[in-house]
Amino acid sequence: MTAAAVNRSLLLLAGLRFYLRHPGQLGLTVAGIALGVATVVAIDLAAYSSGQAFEASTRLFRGQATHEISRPGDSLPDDLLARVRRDYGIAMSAPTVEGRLRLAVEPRRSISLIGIDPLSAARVGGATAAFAPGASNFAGLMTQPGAVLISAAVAQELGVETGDELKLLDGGGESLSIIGQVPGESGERYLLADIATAQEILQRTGQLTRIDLRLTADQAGLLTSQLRQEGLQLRPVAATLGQVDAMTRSFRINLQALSLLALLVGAFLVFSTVSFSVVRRREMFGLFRSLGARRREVLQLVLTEIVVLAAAGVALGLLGGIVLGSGLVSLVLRTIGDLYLSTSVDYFGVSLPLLLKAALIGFGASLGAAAWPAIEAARAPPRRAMLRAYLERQGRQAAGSRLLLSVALACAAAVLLLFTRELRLAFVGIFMVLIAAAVAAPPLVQFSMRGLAAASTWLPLSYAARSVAANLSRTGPAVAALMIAVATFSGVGLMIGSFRLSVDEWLSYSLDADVLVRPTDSRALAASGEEADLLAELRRLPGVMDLSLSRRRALPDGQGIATLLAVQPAVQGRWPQSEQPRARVLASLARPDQVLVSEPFARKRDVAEGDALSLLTPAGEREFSIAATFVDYSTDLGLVAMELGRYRQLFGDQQLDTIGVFTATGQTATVLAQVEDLADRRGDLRVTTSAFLRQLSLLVFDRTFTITQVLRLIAGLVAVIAVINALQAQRLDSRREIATLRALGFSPGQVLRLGEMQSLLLGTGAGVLAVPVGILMAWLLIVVVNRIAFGWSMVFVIDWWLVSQGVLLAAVAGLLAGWLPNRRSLRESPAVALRAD
Amino acid sequence: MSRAPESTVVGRPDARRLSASPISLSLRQVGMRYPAAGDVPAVLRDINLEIPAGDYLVIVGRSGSGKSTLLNLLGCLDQPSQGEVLVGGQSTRAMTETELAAVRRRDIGFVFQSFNLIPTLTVRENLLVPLQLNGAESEAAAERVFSLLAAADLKDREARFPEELSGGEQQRVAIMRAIAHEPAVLIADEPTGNLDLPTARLILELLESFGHGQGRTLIMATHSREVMGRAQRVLQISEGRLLEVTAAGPVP
Repeated sequence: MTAAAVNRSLLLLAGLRFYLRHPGQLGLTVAGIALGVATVVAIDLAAYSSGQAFEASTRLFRGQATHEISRPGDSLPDDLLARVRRDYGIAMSAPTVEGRLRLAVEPRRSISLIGIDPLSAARVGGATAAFAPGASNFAGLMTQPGAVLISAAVAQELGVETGDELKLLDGGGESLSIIGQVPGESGERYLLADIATAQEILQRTGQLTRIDLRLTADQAGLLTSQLRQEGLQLRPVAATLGQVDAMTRSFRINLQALSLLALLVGAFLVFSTVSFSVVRRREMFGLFRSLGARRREVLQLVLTEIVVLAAAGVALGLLGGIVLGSGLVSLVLRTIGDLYLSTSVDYFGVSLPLLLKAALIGFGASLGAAAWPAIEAARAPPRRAMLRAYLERQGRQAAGSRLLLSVALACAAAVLLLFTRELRLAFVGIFMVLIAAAVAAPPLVQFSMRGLAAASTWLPLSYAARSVAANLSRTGPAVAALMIAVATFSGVGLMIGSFRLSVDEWLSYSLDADVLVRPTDSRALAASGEEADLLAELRRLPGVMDLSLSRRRALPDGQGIATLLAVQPAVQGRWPQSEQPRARVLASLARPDQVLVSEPFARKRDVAEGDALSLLTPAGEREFSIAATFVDYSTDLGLVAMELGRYRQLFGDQQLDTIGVFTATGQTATVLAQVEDLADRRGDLRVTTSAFLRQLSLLVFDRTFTITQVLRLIAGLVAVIAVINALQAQRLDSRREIATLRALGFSPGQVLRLGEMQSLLLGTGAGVLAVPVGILMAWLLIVVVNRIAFGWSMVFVIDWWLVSQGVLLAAVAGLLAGWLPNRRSLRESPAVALRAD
Repeated sequence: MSRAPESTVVGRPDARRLSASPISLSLRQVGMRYPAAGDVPAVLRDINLEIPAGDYLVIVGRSGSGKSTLLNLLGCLDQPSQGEVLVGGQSTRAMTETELAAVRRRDIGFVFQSFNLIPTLTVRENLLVPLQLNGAESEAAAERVFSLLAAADLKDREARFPEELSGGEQQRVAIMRAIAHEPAVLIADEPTGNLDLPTARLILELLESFGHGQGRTLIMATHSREVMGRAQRVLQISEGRLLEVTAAGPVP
């Protein structure tokens, strides 16, 4: 073994023994790395699994189908299948009807019912899982009334098996017989029935959701133009998958950004723990250098240590991330199901490339965090490395340049945020703002503590403030981590709070009626011409002041992603929420060539008031003028509003989705009872109240943001770990000082109170600095990120209670984290502490 | 510089205790063994020592002989492994940590070899610490600090932080801090060990002047033969035992 190798192994041994003697330090460093990696893995896996699940779900019954016929926002007549086969000679075609229903055993969560024609499905190679030998009693679907196959995921969730009955909650409360199970790896949640059974249960007799086809290129070309004339759409299956991808893109990017934000917070924690472990041993490194160790060897020692610690942290983080991710994935899937798609799936898969990416990020962040302290430890001349005063002086000298760097970063971020329309760049800008704040945090805490010390006439306070300022050479990174964590905690909270307030306000405009009536079969209502009678009957009810009518369908613009809302607003209603006066907006809407567009639509299509918008009507393409934009959070995919009469005239669609009933003041309960009586008598109406829907919407909102709340909690956890780190550093630094105080006659209680005052000042200092950073972060998330991602504008409200929660979190975290180190510092005899130094 | 400040009674009604009330110290069968030392012999063994009030005692011995340990026990900074330490006739074993802190705060002043000033407090604030701890009223404490600074020729250094002072200046501040509250006993652990000879002489003069010169008990660990010649008693410590107690005069 060469002398250099001996030297290196001894250095490494000394480093590892340091960690073995300080298990708390070891634990904090590994926990910091693990927490950052776990968050990235969890959110990434949740996003990945949801993508996989929806792709599997989309492909589930399409098999070898290449195309599908559908009518965006509407159903197909089931005689279309016969025409496709007869007129175009396409035998490889399979009809499907899909809908959702609720079961008595699980009333809180609806489930998909998919109706197929088993023989046709077999022809296009769909439903292969159901056809698997011995998988199910497939033939029974066609012969037994009310027979269904149940997906393995639902069977497991409900604890039911073949032979059991499932009672329906909706409709007449009929029962379905489970005649078999369909295995599935993607955890799809569905019931499978023969198409006739499904149409009956879903009350969609004669209707299809889509027809799957196996087509050659020539057949596809021929069909496309002919179906278009009928207002139907022929799309490749791949496009459907792409549509899911396009619809959820912003949501997924936001998730990714959240995971990166969590990583950034985690990286600061890693930086603070690693810096602390290096700075704490600068005397040891100085000694090594005095004994002849080269700079490179010290650098290698620190980096080798970090690689070993990062390996442990990454391994723990990957495991923790998988566990956390399996919990988060159902949140993500439910959110996507709630907001974008009607399908519901449960699936969690682990992707090796994602784990590798997270591992690389973990190692990269750890080494990146350790790089500067390691270089500093290796660069310092041996004698200087051993002097604390040198480090403190260096810190003071660097304060100015740190502030300059921070300002430069903030300016660059401002330029980026001002001009970008790209979501990823917007997040880069926000990260730059956070890094700028983190760079500025230690000098700012130092200045404020010095100011406090100078202003205070009470010696213990000025002593505590000066101690906090003096210890920043060790506690600086932890203070930065604490500040970032608290800013994220408050900033994300403020963003959610403002968003919720905006949604609540919007709901008061969009759900402006008091009672909502929905025909169970709008087609039947339209066909029989009963609509006028129903509306007249509703108007006659005592206490009813006005009605509003609406119909929603996919926007006929060839893309089928955005929504067309045909509406006849009530005079006394509030919709739409627009910057323009309501009377003027409604007057514009009444004109035959004018439409309103939602903010997300305007932003995504880059259109504004006065611009033209082309829509495809059965009579051909029609051009409209955009009269105004309005606030709408129901979809980030865009909404175009048109006057109902004009819509019916142009599209020939007489159906209604919702009738809003406006009541006289204090008459809602009476009117509701009467409308419910009417619905009972007719049997074709569903009745609900706006208040209920408003509550439900806010419930969905809260569920959507659960994952964001998880991030807040992680940020809070990071804050606590960071402050423990900082206080450990401070207590260790003050060991001799505490012994001197005790030698001077400070009682244990006095020493404890001084320690607690320092803990409180450190936590509060970082917490107070986090206030403007958190507010700025929330503002950027609302004004920049949400506008780019979803096109939504929101009110920005600073909830000072929430802001003070952040400061309180930091202060309480400071006090709690200081609890043990402060008491531990008293356990040691002052003589031992003085001798040890 | 060497003119002693007047002994002022400052502070609250019980501030009488700030003035140097005579206190005797005793060690009875004291032994000391550090837990981490394993099989290593005890640092101190069967030490018996009486230190009457107003004594000027010097402890000599090689490095590691136990001088600092003995001073730590006398200064109530540590408890013996066996035997007992009596301060004013009261055993420290019977005292709680808070009571021990009160003894240190009131009756003892400690000067360390490496000064141990509070780095984040200015010179003036360092001197205020023992006074405030003893409940001195702010005006009286300010007067006391003023006179201490003047006596140690440190008036122009009052707003400086310890790191901005020379070693000699830091030790002068440490001595002033040790006597600020008028303790009965002044203990100095190799107070000149980190200083050059001329500075060391000045420090010794200051210690004697404010320590023994004002009727306090002065206990000092040192290697300085000059000091040994000026003390009333010299104790030599070797292998944990007090081998010899001599009257003032050269140590063999």
